[in-house]
Amino acid sequence: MDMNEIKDIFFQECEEQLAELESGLLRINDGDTDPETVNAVFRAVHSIKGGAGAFGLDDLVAFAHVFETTLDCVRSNKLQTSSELLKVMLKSADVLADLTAASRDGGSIDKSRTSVLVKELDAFAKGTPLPASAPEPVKQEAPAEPAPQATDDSGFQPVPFSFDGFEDEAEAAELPDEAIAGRSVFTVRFKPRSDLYAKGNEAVLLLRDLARLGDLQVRCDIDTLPPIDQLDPEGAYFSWLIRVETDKDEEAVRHVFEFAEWDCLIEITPGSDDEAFSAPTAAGEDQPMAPVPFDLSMLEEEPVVPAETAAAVVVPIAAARPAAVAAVEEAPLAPPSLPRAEKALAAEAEKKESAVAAVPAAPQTIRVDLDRVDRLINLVGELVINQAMLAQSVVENETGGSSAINLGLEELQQLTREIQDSVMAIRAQPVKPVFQRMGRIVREIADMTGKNVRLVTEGENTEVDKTVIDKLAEPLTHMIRNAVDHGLETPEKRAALGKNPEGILRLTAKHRSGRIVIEIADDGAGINRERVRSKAIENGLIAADSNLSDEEIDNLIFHPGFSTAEKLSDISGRGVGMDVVKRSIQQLGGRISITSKPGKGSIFTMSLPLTLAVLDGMVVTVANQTLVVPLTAIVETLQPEKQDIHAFGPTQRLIAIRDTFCPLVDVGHILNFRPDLANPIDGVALLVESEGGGQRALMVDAIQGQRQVVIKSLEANYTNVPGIAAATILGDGRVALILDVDAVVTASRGHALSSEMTLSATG
Amino acid sequence: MKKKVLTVDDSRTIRNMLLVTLTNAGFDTVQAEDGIEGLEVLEESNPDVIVTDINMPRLDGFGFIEGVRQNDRFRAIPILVLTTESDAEKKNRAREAGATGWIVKPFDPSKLIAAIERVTA
Amino acid sequence: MSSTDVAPKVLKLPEVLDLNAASRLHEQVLAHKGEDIDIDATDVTRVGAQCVQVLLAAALSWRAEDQSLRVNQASDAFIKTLQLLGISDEALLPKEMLK
Repeated sequence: MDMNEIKDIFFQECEEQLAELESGLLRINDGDTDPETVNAVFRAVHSIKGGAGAFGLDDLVAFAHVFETTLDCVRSNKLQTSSELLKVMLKSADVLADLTAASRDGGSIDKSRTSVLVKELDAFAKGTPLPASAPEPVKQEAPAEPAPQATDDSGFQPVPFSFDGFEDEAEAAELPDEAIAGRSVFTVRFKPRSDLYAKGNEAVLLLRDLARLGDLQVRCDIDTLPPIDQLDPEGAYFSWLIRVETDKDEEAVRHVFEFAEWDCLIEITPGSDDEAFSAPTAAGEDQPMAPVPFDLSMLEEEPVVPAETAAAVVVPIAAARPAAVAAVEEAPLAPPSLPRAEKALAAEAEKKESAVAAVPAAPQTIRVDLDRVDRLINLVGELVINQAMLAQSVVENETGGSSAINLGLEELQQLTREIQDSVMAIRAQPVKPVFQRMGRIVREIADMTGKNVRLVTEGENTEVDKTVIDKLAEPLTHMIRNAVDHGLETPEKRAALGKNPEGILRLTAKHRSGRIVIEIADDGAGINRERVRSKAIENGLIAADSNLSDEEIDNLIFHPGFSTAEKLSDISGRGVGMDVVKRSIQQLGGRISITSKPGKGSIFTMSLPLTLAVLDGMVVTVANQTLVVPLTAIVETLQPEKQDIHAFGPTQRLIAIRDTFCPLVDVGHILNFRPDLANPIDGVALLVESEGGGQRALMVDAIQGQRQVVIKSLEANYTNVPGIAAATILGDGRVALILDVDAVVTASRGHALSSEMTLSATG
Repeated sequence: MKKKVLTVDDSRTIRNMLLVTLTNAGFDTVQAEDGIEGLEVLEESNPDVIVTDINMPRLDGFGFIEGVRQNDRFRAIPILVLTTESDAEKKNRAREAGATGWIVKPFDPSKLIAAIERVTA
Repeated sequence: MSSTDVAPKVLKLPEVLDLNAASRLHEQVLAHKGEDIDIDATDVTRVGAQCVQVLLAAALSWRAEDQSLRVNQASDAFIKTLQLLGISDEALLPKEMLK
């Protein structure tokens, strides 16, 4: 794994954290007072900041930092949540998402928006009753250890470190007892408290690190060491007087005690304190402890410092004496040979795995490259085809008499189906991320239009194929914008109507008969049918005297180029109407419809297939070709009778279905499979629903049956063919084309089939 | 003998960075995602040194450090805390909980390794 | 010199003498109070200052009672740590071992 891969992981993680952040903020907005919610929100921002810092994403770090600071105030109850604060925080979450995206994909973001939010966040953080920045803690604490009784005057008295008392380095270097040019001498007085040891620091290691700086003379003061039976084995009795001769500066000496300075008394002075070194120690020893020169040459080789990271660690040592480096022990520190290291690593990896596996966790997940899943899906697709072919050849060879073979085949079919379902389930994902994105869209449009909107989502965990999810965002965004922009009234108007000034937008997902149904319901004004109607007449979409049902009028909004907004607004898009939404949903094999109640609001309902990889189709014959018609498009199938067929103009024919007439479309003719129109009475009519809600009867020669087929993209394998959405391979090995119903219906209206008009194939 | 490092961090990004850095540096690495898991992994892995984050779900770094220091078997293990910036208050609390030292994020590999070398024999 | 003819009791130190080992070492030493003790530190790979405190305090206390508690055999790691800590007291470690 290299840094780029980790960066990818970071951005994946950001997505999750951003989702966590937003949902947490929304929960708080809804009155959730669980401190863990605030904590989770804080952690999300904190985590993004931490990772961003590791990759030097400074803009992201800077903004996350300000955001985090304000969140920290909320977390520590210095700042009360309010709807104003939540509003700013939700906007900040959006900006954080933008900054993350900009860091990932390049590109820039609106700096003014960021700086406004930074100011607002700052103001919240500062305008708190308590100062946001806590006072610096007192650095030196009183010694935790009571002064031991045995202290003697001749033992050195540690002095708390004070920076003022220091001569500068240049002076220190001029001290007479400097032995070697360019080297300085420092005197270090070091008295640990027991806390130092209790926290995992060790005087031995500190002295070792000092030895790495240069030559040491160490004198241990044991005067406070009590008799063995009065000794606390975990107490701190030793203290040290150390002479360090080094070519490093005082900072380097001080740095050795960075972790320890809170739990010890430490004094570092330039120059040598010969007097202290020669002073006799107390306790009436026969042989006072003489200072022990600590020679670096006694030390063994440097411990494991791998090549890649060696530089920083080796520097102080190499500078002191290139050949000899400091380490107290030898055996445990010997650098491992590489193969051994790898073996150990592998063993460790195993151990680690078992360790991780033992941890009870939330549902276990793994991340898999989408390509791998797709390859699996393709293979399963092949398997399904193969299984169908096998079944067919068994029938054709009339070996079907053997019940064992039939039984085996049946089981194979069952298993294949199960494998297929399971594989499809791998790609299934909850719509939650898309729904969450809509929260932001709503906020933005509400801001721009001055409307007050509350987004309520339901069924976020409804799962659907990833490709469907990916393609869902765009039409959904458009519909949401449309609903806020055109559907909901302004707060003033709503108040005047006696409605809650805050409009409700309800986004719902659910499974219904093997499809996912998504509803966008607003409690706004509903479709203004008068206006839609007059606009349609104005645009020549309908005749001035046409008699349309409410439903038909409502559905006019899906007509190409239709827009009822008096002026084109920024929000719903420039002239991009609901027809585009409808088209993209149909491209996904979906349908969309609207129901509306004046004054009560509108509900857009779209239904989509759960996957784009397989399709339930009607296999039909047209001019000796086998075609597949998506089952979802078919309303019913009819056997036309002679008396139902009515000529309409030179080429058009209508079919009477109960009390309505429906245009009859000869699929074979439209697709140029045959030059002449076929006789409807010899064929079968498939009643399909088409754009604008109208129906068409597609005429085919015969129906072979219904089958689930694996979609093979024609574009990927061949080329885009007008009127054809994709292809599939049937059980007998033949390639069958999947009909693009909408393109065919459009063509039947007199437009020629062209590439632009056909739908792109999927799968 | 290779040293074993236990890292405790809820961020997948940081976990991966630690893993890569430590593995390249020749350390054995065991990882946990929060304080609770950290205490569990500790029991099985007996590391030479621990590197832990502070802000984590379930059990944060302070609680985790206290847990290690109260454990008779593992209380002597040096613990380094990852802090995002030189936040005096957090450093203080970590120290009170029993942290040995700290590493300021974002860490570069050499800083991390140097800190580990400093607190291990 | 010990007053008895019995060979001194040998106390073998474990490999690691860290914070966790100090209390146990303290108890072990106290349990042999009044006996001459030879400390065998040949296995020691790592020793912390607190265990050195225990050993040195014991050596000094033993000597005050005219008995002996000394390290007679030690690993390089043990000797080097004592040197690093500036412990040169012959009560614990014979001078020749420090070279």
